[in-house]
Amino acid sequence: MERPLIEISALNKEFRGGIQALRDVDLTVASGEVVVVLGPSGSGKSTLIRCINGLETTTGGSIRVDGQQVNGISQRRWRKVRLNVGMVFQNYALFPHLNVLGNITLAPRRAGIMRRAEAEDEARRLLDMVGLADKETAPVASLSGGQQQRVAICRALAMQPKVLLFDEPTSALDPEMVGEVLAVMKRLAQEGITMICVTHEMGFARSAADRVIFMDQGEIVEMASPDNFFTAPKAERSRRFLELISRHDA
Amino acid sequence: MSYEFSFPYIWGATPDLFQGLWMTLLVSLVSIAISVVLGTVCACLRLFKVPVLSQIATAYVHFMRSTPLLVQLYFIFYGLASLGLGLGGFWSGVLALSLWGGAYNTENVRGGLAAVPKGLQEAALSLGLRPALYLRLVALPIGLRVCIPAMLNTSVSVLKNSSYLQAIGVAELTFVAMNRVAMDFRTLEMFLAIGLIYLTIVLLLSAAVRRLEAVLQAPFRTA
Repeated sequence: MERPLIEISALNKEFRGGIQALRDVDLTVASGEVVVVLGPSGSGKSTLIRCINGLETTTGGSIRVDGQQVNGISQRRWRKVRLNVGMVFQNYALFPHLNVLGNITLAPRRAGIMRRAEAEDEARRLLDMVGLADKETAPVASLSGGQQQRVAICRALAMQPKVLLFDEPTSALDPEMVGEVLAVMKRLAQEGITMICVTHEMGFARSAADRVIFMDQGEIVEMASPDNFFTAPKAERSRRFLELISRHDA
Repeated sequence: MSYEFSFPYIWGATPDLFQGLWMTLLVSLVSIAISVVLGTVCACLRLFKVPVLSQIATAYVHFMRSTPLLVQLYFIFYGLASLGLGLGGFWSGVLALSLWGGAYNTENVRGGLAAVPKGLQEAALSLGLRPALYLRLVALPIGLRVCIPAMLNTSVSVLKNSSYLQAIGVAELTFVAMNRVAMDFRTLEMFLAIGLIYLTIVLLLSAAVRRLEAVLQAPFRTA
């Protein structure tokens, strides 16, 4: 069997001040898998994926990315790991002083993996895929939230990562723009890109996820296929969460 | 007895004034350039909390801001000379003004860098950029733009404070005026004349910086 891309075992994270953000989290993600992480706010979802690319330090347990042990390694070694781990943030975090093309090509060029012309060709291909081919010279401030997030996805993809982490990518968007970002994410899921998505979009979880993880108070409460999770949740806490959400939707 | 204001006297003094102006501009522009670089470097040391160096930068800023420029100038010109490290008037003046302006620019740039959203650093790191590249390609281009108005303010102060250099015999604008006044007692004419000259170059400097700011508004195509 192929080595899993991400192996997390007994992961613990305690913030200064004693808040336990993650408790003995075990998670294995295979290449090509799409995992959606659900849970109430403060449940540790974002902390979990931020540990995978070293934006948070861990206080116990182990993380392996592509076979390499990463917890506790130096910032210099994290840099190499991050070349394989892309991330899309809730607030896009685009570089405001660069235009669209500059945002996408900055890292591939400066990390030394592509020449300028090559990086720009790749950026244009990605922009075309997300429906923003006409925006390559636009300043990012002139784009809508949905367009900015699609550029941010291109920026992460331009590094050709082995796994893409999404940290609530649609939570900051106006409702009418959520669809365009989710459409891009679904397309990536179909193309076989390994993804771990923290989101509140139940429709996306249902249709795109291979696996759904439900977290609460720093623990993984339930891990199931989307069908099983949404139709027959096993844990009491999952049921309550789904009930609250459906009431909100109605 | 009434004082008779004489325009022809000012006219006659223009060759001297131009020489003084040239020295004022030379000393100021060199000092402004050094103070911008010095301030940027010290602000970066403090941002990244580089051990030892960031503490030195902090102490330097406090020291320069808490002592009079004239005392600093005398210390460098006379004090260092008594240790056998005489730099001469010009370089003593440049050093004092650069160190003085550098301290204020450290605070200016620190403010600019603090205005760079924290998320951008996480974004840059998660893209595999080295911290030094993040600083050079993201944080400084954004932070320096933010602090341009504050740096202009400091630069104007450096320019105006170059008139202190007359105290150590640098033949800049104020020195030239003092010299003429000592010979001819035309106080009103000379101080009005150099006042207007200072006003003009400060206005020109401000206009140039506003131009620069407008140009930098447009996002770069690539970094």
